[in-house]
Parts: sequence; C-alpha cells; structure tokens
Amino acid sequence: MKSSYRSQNLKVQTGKKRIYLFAGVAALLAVIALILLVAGIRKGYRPPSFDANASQGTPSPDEGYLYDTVTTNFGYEFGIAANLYQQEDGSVNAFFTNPSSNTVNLVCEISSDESGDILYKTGAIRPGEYVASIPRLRTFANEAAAITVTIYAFEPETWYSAGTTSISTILQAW
Amino acid sequence: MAQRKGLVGGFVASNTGEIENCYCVTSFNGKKYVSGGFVGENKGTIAKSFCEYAASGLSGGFSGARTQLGDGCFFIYDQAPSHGGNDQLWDRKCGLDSHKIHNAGDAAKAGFDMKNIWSFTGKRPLLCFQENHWMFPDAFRSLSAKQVLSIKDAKNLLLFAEMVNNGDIRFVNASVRLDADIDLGGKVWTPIGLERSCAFNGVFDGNGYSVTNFVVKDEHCSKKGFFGYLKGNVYNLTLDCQIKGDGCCGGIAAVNEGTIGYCGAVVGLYTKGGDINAGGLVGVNNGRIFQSYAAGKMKFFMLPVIPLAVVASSVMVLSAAVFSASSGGGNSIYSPIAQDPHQTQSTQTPEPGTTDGTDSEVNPAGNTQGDTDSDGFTHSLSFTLGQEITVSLSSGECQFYFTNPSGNTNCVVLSLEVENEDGTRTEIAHTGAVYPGYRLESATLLEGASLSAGSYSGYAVLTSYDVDTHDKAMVETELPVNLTITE
Repeated sequence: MKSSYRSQNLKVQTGKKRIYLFAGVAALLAVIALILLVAGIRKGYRPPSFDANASQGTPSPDEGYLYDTVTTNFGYEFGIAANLYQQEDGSVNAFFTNPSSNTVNLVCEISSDESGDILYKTGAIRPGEYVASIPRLRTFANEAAAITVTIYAFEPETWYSAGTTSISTILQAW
Repeated sequence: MAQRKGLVGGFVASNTGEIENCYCVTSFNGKKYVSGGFVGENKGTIAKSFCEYAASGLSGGFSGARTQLGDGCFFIYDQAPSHGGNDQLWDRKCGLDSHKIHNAGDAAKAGFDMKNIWSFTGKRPLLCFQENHWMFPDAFRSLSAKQVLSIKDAKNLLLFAEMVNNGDIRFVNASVRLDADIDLGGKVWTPIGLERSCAFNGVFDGNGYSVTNFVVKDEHCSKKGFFGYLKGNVYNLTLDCQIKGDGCCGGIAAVNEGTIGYCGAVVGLYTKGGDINAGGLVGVNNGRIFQSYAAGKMKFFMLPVIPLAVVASSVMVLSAAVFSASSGGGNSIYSPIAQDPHQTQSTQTPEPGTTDGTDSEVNPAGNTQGDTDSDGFTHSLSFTLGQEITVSLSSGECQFYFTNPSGNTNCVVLSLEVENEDGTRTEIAHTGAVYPGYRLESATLLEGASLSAGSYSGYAVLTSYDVDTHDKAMVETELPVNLTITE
C-alpha cells in the first residue's frame, strides 16, 4: 500500500519465505530423525517375529530323517531331524520342534561352516509348535556341506537368552 | 596478488553517466574484482553520494578504479577497515567516520542537502521519500488517463514485460504506472528489454509502489535486472529481488541509458564468480541516476544451502534409520538385560576364596562355581556373595553384599528365593545385570511377595550372561543363604 512516507528498507526479503520453508522442512526432518533416533535407542532391541509356517503339535517325519528330541544343558528340549537334506527347491526338511514341555521360545539357525553364511533360519517358535520345512535364505551349491545348527532359546516375555545350543552336522545334497 | 577481473560496486558496477544524491548499503566481498563500495569504475560524474563501508576486499572505499570523483562522495565507516585501517584504499580521503555524523547538521556540513533531498534518521542520512518531495511531478503531466497503462497485478506486469520483449512498439514506448504493490511470489522474472533492440524506451512510474519477491536467473540472459536494457525513464519504483548468475547485473536495470530517479533496489545477488559487472541498482550506467538507493548483499558464490540442508537432513534420517535397524537386530539376537541402576563400581574386589573382614555383618565370601559342558569345556563363574541377607518389609529392600569381579567376562543377575515349608521356592527379589567390576548391596522386593518377619532359609540364584551377546552362559549357580526378615 502506498504510504505518504516510504521507508527505505535495506534488507532483502525475497527468498526469505523459501528459506523459512526449507528451514522448516529441514527442522521437521531433523525432528523425525531425532524421534527415530530416540525410538531406536529406547527400543534398542527387536525380538524375532514368530514363524508364520509353524504348526501346532509334533511332526511325524519318515524314519529316514532320524528325527529325535535333544535335551540341552540349559534344560530346554528341541526336536530336529538328524538327516538334513537339501530339497529341490533349496529348502530343508528339519522338522524343528519346540516341545510343549518347554517354557521358552526357540529359533533355529543353520549356517555354513565354510563361509559362515546363514543358510536357513526360522522365526520364533512357541512351545508345542514345529516347522517341518525351512526355506533357504540364499542360494548355494547343491552338494554336501558342513553346517552348524544353532538353537536360540528365549524367555517368552523378556526375550532374554535362555541359552544357545549348537550342533555340527552335514547338510546332504539333493 | 591475483589480477582483479570484472567490476563490482555497491550501487553501480560501471558509470559513464551522471549520478547524484544517491547512496547504497550493500555488503559484499570484492576481493577478486575491481570493486568499490559505491562504484566499480567511474568514468562519468558522481556527486553528493555515499556508501556505507559494508564490504571487504575492496580496491577502493568508494570507487574501485583510480578515477576522478565529484564533490561530496564518501564512504562512511563505523570502524576503519581492518588490515592497516583505510591505508590500502586508494581513495581513503573519501572516508567519513560515522561517529562524526550525529545529526542532520553534521550531514549538512559534509555537503548533504538536508532541506530538500536528505533527512537524518537513525545513524545515516536517508533520502526524503516523502510524497511531496519524491514524487516526480512531470512524468505524466502532459498525458491523459487513457494514455497511461495502469498495472495493478502480477499478471499484467508479466504481460507488459512479454509485450516489450516481443518488440511491440506500443509497449516499448509506453507510459506505465503501477497502481498497487506487486508480489511476484518468487517467480523467475524475465527482464523488461531483454535485448538492446527491444529496450524499454517509455516512462515507468512506480508511483511509490513496490515490486517484490522475484528472481532473475535465466542462464541465457546476460543482462539481469528488472529491466535488461533501459533507454526510457523509471521513477518512484522500489524493488526487492534476487539475481543469480553472471553477466551484467543490477536491481533496477542491467544497462541504463535512460533516467532513473527516486528509485530503490534491495537485491540479493549471487554470482558464480565469472565475468560480471554487478551493481546494486544498475550494472552499467550510461544515463542519469538521481536520488536513488541500493541495498542488500552480493555473494560471489552460491552456497547450496537448501540442497545441503535437505541432504544433511536426509543423512540424519537415514543414519537414524540405520542406527535403529542395526541396534534392533544386528549384533544381538537376545534382548539385553538392563544394568542394575544401583550397581556401583567395586573399588575393592576380594579374590575368590577370601573373606572381606571389613564388614563382618554381611560376611562376604568368595566363591567359584563351575560347570562342565557336554563338549568338555568347563565354564566357571567367580563372585563374592555374603550369605547373610536382611530384608526390611517397611522399606521393601533386601540388603546383601554381592560383587562381580572385574576379571569376569559375564554380567550376573541375582535372584533371591525363599524356601517354603513344603519345599517349594518363592522368588522375592531379583536384580538387574551386575557387570564385571561392579558390586551391588540391595535389591527391591518384588510386588506381591508375601513375607512375615523371621529367619528363613533361601537361595541366591546367579545367572550369567555374556556382556556383548547377552547370551546366557552355561553356568547357573545357586547358593544357600540365610534370610532375616524384619518389619
């Protein structure tokens, strides 16, 4: 609006809105980052999700799999096939079982002794559930390989460790 | 010293015309250029004008090049420029200490016309932009209302600029009057009179209004300003804009071969440092300028503040997300056990098997408990635990003495259990993780623990976890303890 006395503004206003806008966006992003950071720090730990392929009960594999139940030094048990064969689709029929007598959740992880790569891994399995077949996480040669089967046991509420057990065995080729 | 290239002035870059009663307050660093606070190079006439010394690296306080200056040309400084005062400035005699200009009288002594042209407000003389003073009276005196093109909005201003640049003679020679302030909303502005062949040759009366918030940055346009080439007359107009890029730059006009009076330009000028002739009001003045001012800042590089801010923010978000993800599942499959907040660093760590005689009540005793794994490895846990444990029902606290020696690799969680008459056990308290080298002397009773005063047998169950992986260790120990429960 025209005034009778025009003040001589000596500071540039053009672009300030834009600067404010981007400063606002940057501040917003910073706040989001901060929230994520705080959430990350506070959260600190995400428990494994439960395995969607888990079934209730106990499996009935063929005798050829040499399925058996193992009692660990930590007091919990688990069931697994002693003969582990890579299937045509790369999966392994492990028949990994968390017996209903347990009070802990279990996770089964199979890794290659040669490369250290994790080849198979289940989600968390509640007591009284089993997973017959574990899909592979990566492609690898269809040949016999030394593997380590690691069983992680979790206190159900806290997800504290209830002890880790390892077994060395051979994964047979298909 | 590197050779200076290009001309930079706070008001005009190059002047071969006439400039009178003008001022500028423009901050910039003119180190790489032939630069002066008011004019880069003057081959014309400049009189009764001043600049505030808001620049650095200049070759001249008022004029960059060593040429003759007219009467009453000053650069006003608050403090003598650093690096040897004003000595490095060839025109240091034009320097005027602002502390010596306290009022209109002081300004008048310096040669300013304080009656008709200048007024004194604040710390410096300013132009009288009062309506009865600054409105140019003869601009449209001979024209009828129909002969004046009235512009009241951005749309018509853009249309006018386009018509001039198309060479439409009706607009090139038009008499134009602004009848409202116009905010161009940050739009990119194509200068009026983009080429010399279509230079504006009419009269543009700002009428005391302003055109604000536009950016001149066309890469293909070497003459950057509200006007590119100006051959006509511009009065009573103020601008607020940004100019980006190289070439010939000036707020009102890149090249003025006409007349500019009673105008002001507040400009943010950002150049990449190439060939430039940059001035606050006009780049190259071959015409006449009077009673006008320029202000703002010139930066001879474009710091990408906005992209930097966006990138920095994105990096922050990304790093936060990565941190969040990695802390969530990366190193530890198990949930970490929180450290007990009451643990304190153990200044005295008794060796296992010894007794700490300094506290006979708790009677701490060293212990080593071991277990042999099925693979043949023996796992052991050393600790010190007093067997006498007192429980105060009123405070809800259990008092004991427990130390996890610094030589251990595991943290330990202590659980206290009382033995019931039927042989079963009830947990009454447990601690957080006690790290190696720390001790703990109390734990809070669990809610719902039903106890009565007396002496009881109980157990301390010690569970250890790897401090890095939080994996439960093979060895789990329990020791008989004596519980004394008091009201």
